[in-house]
Amino acid sequence: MKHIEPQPMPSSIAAPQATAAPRPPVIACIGTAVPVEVVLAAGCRCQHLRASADADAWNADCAPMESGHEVETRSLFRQLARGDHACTDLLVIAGTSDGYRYLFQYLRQMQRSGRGDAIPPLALFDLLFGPAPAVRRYSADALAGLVRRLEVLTARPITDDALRQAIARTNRLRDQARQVDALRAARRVSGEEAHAALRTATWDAQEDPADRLATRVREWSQRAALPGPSLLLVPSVPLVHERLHAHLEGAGCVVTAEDGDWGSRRATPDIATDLPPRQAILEHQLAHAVSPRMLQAQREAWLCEQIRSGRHQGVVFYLPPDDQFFGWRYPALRSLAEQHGLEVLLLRQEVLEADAESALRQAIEPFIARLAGPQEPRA
Amino acid sequence: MTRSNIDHAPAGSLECTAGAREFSRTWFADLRRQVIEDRLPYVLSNAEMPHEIFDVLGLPVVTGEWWSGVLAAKRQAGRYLAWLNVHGFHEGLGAYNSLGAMSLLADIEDAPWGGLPPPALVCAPHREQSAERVHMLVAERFGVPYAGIEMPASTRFYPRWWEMAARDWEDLYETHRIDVVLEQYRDMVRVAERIAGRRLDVDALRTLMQRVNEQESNFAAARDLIASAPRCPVRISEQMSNTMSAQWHRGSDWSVAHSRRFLHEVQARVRDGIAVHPGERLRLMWVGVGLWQNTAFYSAFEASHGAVFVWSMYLALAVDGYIKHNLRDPLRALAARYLNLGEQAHVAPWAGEWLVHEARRHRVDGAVLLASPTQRHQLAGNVFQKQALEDAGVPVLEIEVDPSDNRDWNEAAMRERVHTFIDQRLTP
Repeated sequence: MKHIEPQPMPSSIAAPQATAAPRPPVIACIGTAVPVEVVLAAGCRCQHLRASADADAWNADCAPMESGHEVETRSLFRQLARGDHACTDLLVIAGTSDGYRYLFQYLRQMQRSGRGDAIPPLALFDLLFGPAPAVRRYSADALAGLVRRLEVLTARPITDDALRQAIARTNRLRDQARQVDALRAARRVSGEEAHAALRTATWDAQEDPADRLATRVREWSQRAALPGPSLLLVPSVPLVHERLHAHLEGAGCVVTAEDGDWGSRRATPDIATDLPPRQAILEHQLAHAVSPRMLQAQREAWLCEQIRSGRHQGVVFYLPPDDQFFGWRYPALRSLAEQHGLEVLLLRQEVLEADAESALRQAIEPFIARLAGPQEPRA
Repeated sequence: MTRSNIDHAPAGSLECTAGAREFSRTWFADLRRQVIEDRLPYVLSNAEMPHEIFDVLGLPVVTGEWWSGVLAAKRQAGRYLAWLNVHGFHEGLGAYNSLGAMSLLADIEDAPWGGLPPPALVCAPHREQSAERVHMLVAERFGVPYAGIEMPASTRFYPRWWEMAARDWEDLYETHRIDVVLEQYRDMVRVAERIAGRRLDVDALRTLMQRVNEQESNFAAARDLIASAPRCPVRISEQMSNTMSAQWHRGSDWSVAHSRRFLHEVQARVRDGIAVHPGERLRLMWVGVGLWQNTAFYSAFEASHGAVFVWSMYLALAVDGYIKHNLRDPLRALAARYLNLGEQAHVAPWAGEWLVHEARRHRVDGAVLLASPTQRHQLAGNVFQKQALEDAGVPVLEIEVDPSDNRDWNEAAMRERVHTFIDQRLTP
C-alpha cells in the first residue's frame, strides 16, 4: 500500500532559522468551510489538514477515539494527537460535519484532561446553513469571531483592504478551477490528473496555487480529447486521493466531475467584489462550502444539475462502509439518475483497503463495458 | 428498617407500569382514529424537540423514538429495516433515531397498533447531519411542512452541567447558541400556528412548563429514593417505561399524575423494604440508550449473581435535563433545554462526569455500556465515559448491541459476557 502522507509542512515553517525574521503564524484548517481569505488577510500561513490516504494508518488504534468513527475523523485525530501539527499556532475546525464536530470535542477533551500538549490551540468555525435570518446572523458572528481570534493572534487588525487582496488571490484560483472544469467537460484531461491538481491547489506552499494550476491548464489545453464514456463520481466522503479515479479510468472511462470537497466543487463563482469583503466572504461560504451539514436542497443542487446536464453517461456512487449519512439520499438520487438515462454503479468497498482491488475491478469493468457502447457523450 | 422488611419477597411490577402501558395504547388508538376519521393534524417529532409548544397549540405529538421503541419492543424493527434495505437504504444507516419516522415510508402489513397515520408536520433538530435527510423523506412523501432546527456546536464545556441546568441555563448553554435556536423555534411556531389555526399562548406555555417541572420533581424524589434505598426498589425496565411514558406527554394531567403515582409506589416500596431482588449483592448501571428490543435482559442476572441494574439514563435525564426555572420567556428556556440534551448523555466531559456522579449516588458496583455500531452518536464518547467510570473505581463492560433490532441478538452469548464480567471484575 502506497503511503501518502498529508501535506508536508514546508521546511521554512517547521524549522525556522534563528537569524530569520519571525515566521508568520501557521493556521491549520480542517474543512473547506474555513475561509482561507481571512487567514491570508491576517498575514498567516494557511495549512489544510486532511485525512491520510494510508489505510494502515487509519486502521490503527487511535484511542480514545472509537473505531466506529469515520475514517477521515480518526485519521485527523490520530495526526493531531500524536503531535504531527504541534507547531501550528491555531487549528481552525469547521463545524460543518458531525465528524469535524466530534474531532473538536475529542481534541478539546484531550486538552482538558492534560493529554493535549501536542494539540495546537483550537478554534471552532461553526458555520450554520439555512435561510432563517437568525441562522445567518449566527454564521456572521462565527466569521467575526474567527477574524477577531486571528487579530488577537497576530496582534494586528485585519483590514478590509487586506481582505480584498486575499479575495483577489483566491478568486484567481477559482478562475483556474473553472478552467479545469471546462477542460474536463471537453475531456482534455483525466479525472485523476484534474482531481490531484485541484486537491493540491492550496495555500500551504510559498508558490501561489493559482499559478501552479494555470501551468497545468495551459498544458492540458493542448491535448486531444480522451476516449471513453464520461462518468460523474459521487463520493460520500471527502476524497483525499485519486485511487478511485484511477480504478475507474483504468477501466476505460473519463471521470469528468466529482461531487466532493476537493474536486469539481472548487470551481465556484468568484467571491463578490462589489460587497463589503466580510459580507462577500460569508455569502460565498454559505453558498459554496460543500459539507454534510449544508441543507439538502442546497447541497444537492449542483449534483442534480450535473445529473440533468447530459454531460455524463454514468454515475458512480461511492459509499464506503463507514457511511451513515449519504445512504439516506442514495435511493432518491439513484432514481433521479436513472430517470435521466444514466447508468448507475454503487461501490461500497473501501477503495484504499489492500484487498479491495479485485472486488472493485469486478464491479467496475462490466459497468464501464456497458457504457462504452457505440453511444457518444450526449452533451 | 427491620430485617423482616428487607427480607420481603421479590417485587412484582408496579401498578403504575400497567397503567402506563394501557395509557399509551389507548392514547395512540384514539389519536389514530382522530387523525384518520376526523382529520386531526398531528406532529411527528424527534424526541429532542419542544413538544410543549405543540401541546399548547392543541396539536398531538408522536415522538419518532417512542414509535421506534414500540416497534423494537414488539420485535418488529427487523421487518421495517429489511424493507428499507430492499428499497436501497443500506444496512449501516442508524436505525435508533430514524426507525420511527422511516416506518412511514415502508409498506408493511399488520403494522403494530395499525401503524403511524400521516402527520401534518414533521420536525427535528439537526444534531446529527442525517436528521434533515431522514425527516425530509417523510415530509416529502406526505407533502407536509418540515421544521428543521440547526443546532450550534458547543464552545464551552462545564463538566458538572447538572448543577447549572435548572437555574443557570443561560450561562450553561451559552447565550449566542440559545439565541439562534430560539429564533428558529419562533419560525416553527408560526408554521405550527397555521396548522393548528390558533396562536401560541405564551402564558399557557409557561404554565405547562411549570407542570413539567412538577412532574420531573416527582421523578427527582423517586430517583433519590431509588439511589438511597438499601436495595433497589424498582427494576430499571420499569423506571424507563414509567419515566418515558410520562415524558412523551410531559406536563399533561395524566403525566403529572402518573409521575406522582410512580413516586408514591416507590415510596411505599422503600418504606416496606420491598426490593427488586432480596438477595441483591451487586448494583449495575446501564450506560447508553435503552435495550428496547429486550428489556427483560436487565433482570437476567438477579438470581444467578444477585446483580441488579439500578440505573439507566432515562429517569436521571428527566430530572437533570428537563427541569427549567426562570420561565419569564418559556420559549427561551425550551431552547436552552434542547441544546445539549443528547450530548450530555454521550459527549465528554458532560457524560463522564455525570455518570460518575450518578454511579456514586446509586452505589454502583459495575457498568454495562452499550455501543451501537450503526449509530455513531451513541458510540461517540464511549471511551471517555468508560475511562471516567473506571477511574472512579467502577468497572465497565462494553457490549456491541443494536438497541432496536433484535435480529442479531444472541441471548446466550450476551448473558455469558455479563456473567464473565461479573465473575471476573465485580465478584471479590
